[in-house]
Amino acid sequence: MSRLPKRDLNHTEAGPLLSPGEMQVDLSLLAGQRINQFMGEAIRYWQYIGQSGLALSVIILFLLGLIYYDQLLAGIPNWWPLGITYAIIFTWLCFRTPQRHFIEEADLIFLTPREREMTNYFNKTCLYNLTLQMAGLVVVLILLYPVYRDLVQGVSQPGWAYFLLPIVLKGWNYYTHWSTLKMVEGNIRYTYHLLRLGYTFGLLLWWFEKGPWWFIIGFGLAGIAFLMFDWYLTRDRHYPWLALLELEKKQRSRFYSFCQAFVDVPHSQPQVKRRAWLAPLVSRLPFKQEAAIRYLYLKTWLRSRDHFGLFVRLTVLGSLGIYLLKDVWGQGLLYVLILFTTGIQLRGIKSEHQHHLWFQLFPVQDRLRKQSVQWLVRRLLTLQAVLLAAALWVSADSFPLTFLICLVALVAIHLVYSR
Amino acid sequence: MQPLLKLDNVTGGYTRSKAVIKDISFEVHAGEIVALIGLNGAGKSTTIKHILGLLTPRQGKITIEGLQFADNPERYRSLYSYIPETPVYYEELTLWEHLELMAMAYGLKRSQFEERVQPLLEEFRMDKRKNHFPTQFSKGMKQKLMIMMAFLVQPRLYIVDEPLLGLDPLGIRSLLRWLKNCTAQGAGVLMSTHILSTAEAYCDRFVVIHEGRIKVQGTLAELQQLSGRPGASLDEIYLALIEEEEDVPPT
Repeated sequence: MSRLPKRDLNHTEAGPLLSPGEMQVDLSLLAGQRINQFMGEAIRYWQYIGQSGLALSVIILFLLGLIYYDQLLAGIPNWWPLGITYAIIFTWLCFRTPQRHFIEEADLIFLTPREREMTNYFNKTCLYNLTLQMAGLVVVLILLYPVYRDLVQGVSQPGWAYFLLPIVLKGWNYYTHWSTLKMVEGNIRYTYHLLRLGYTFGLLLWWFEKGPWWFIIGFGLAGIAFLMFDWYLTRDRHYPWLALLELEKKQRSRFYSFCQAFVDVPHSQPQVKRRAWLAPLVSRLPFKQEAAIRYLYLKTWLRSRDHFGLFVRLTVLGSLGIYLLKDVWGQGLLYVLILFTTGIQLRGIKSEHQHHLWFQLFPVQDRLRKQSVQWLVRRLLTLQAVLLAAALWVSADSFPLTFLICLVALVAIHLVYSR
Repeated sequence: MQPLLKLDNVTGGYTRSKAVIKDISFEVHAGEIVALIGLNGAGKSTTIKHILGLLTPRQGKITIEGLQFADNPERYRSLYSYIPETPVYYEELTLWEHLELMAMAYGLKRSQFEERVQPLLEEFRMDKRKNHFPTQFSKGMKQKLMIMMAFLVQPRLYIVDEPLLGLDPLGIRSLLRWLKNCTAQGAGVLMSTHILSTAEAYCDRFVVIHEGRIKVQGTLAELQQLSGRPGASLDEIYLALIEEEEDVPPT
């Protein structure tokens, strides 16, 4: 990571742009302004997403979870290592500390000369990040508490510690991540991340696997030592402006492309993964004008982080839920719900492409453009319907029933997406 | 002989109420390169958007080989290829896949594609990067991708919007060489540019747009004669024209 070259800009040379008086950016207010602006935008997008049917699905899923909670619990096999599972889930939640500091391109010129006055700004953005991430963590803690209480909790372990420990660890992870960002040397930063990951997992594993109590002394001391050493190493370093800008862009584009999966977002930049192992799927398309738009839709879908990722997640979650539920009505409802949500989400593909220059210029009939998106959605939903049916078959052990549900779903999909 | 591209008194813009270009008329014939010249905001890109069929003229008529956009949009679009000013690409597709997609969309056979693609990759020195994503490219390399996509199709008409900015000298030479080759084989080129020396060296005729209207058009000799400056370069003629225009007090 290269350091920003120190420009000749400073208070005096920056001239009228940064001169004292009304032109000067009020740094104490800037963070708040930027956060509010983004929140305003985010709320609007969430409203759109809510209208797209996602909110309904989430509520129904939640209710399903409540109703069938006992069955879900009974569905977990005895040999399943719950303690380790909990440790992994919360390690992931505590270790992942995305950094959003609302840095803009122009800041590299206008704010870098005033770096010394930026402490307040970054305190505010850090607080913003931490609050959001803590909220997420607490929600998961609450959701997973019943299972923990019934199946994992040790006799001598107090309930409040289940909540406190991950929260403290999250704070610790956030602070250490934030300060190691200032380290320019990539490999040292990488080592620190590994240490941080190891520590987090070790401590959580100790807790969920009910290790000897005196381990906490060692963990506590190690944690404090790490914190102090980290502070000592990075206390005089510059803010990592370029890295912060990159992180900001990444986070922002993740947010937009998540929204893009449901609603039309102008200027969103998709995040891309190559996924070479999926290439054979596309190479089966004929090299013909009629297949060009299919090629485009399929290839961009397979490479997209969010569309593809959401599809896989919904399918996996759906299969797991269907497998764990033992009630056929619940299974049927979940089956329909997953297909419905995926269908809504896949609609985003169309809006994502239609304003693209090349998409508009290709000498291809509009009819083909429309048919191609239907073709892709139909294929994907068919695939999902079959996969979910497989989970149903394993769980319900009734071939006629599975066959019937799957058949109805496939007919419905082909009716809806045939035009 | 029927012109490849013909604009006949075209008036249009982005909104109903305000016309950006007014009464634009010019032609591009097979075998020639026509330069579209004008200041920033003169209406060059707006004219091009009308030709592409992205904007509909409020008045007047645009035809490519006698065909209007509304008559048959697919056929109309297949008659030209376009090199945009700012590279536009799919983040999810590699360079090779862009070319493949382009070939498919324009109805090339696989054998045609394979025959044409390799010389292009070599000419623009992008062979080693064919499996890379354009996001990792510099501006010039992205521009080369746009150029290769356009040449792959081998249409009758090339519409080129300010292609030289960001290209390295070898890239510029390759681009101009290929454009010349294409015109030798009967294609026509409309090229909008600010680089007047290059335009003078490579273009057969010049259309000067100023504030949405055609100020003057013709070959270099015709422009010299019109401006009363025999032997003057395109640069000199153009600057004189603009200065003369700017001297007129606003009405």
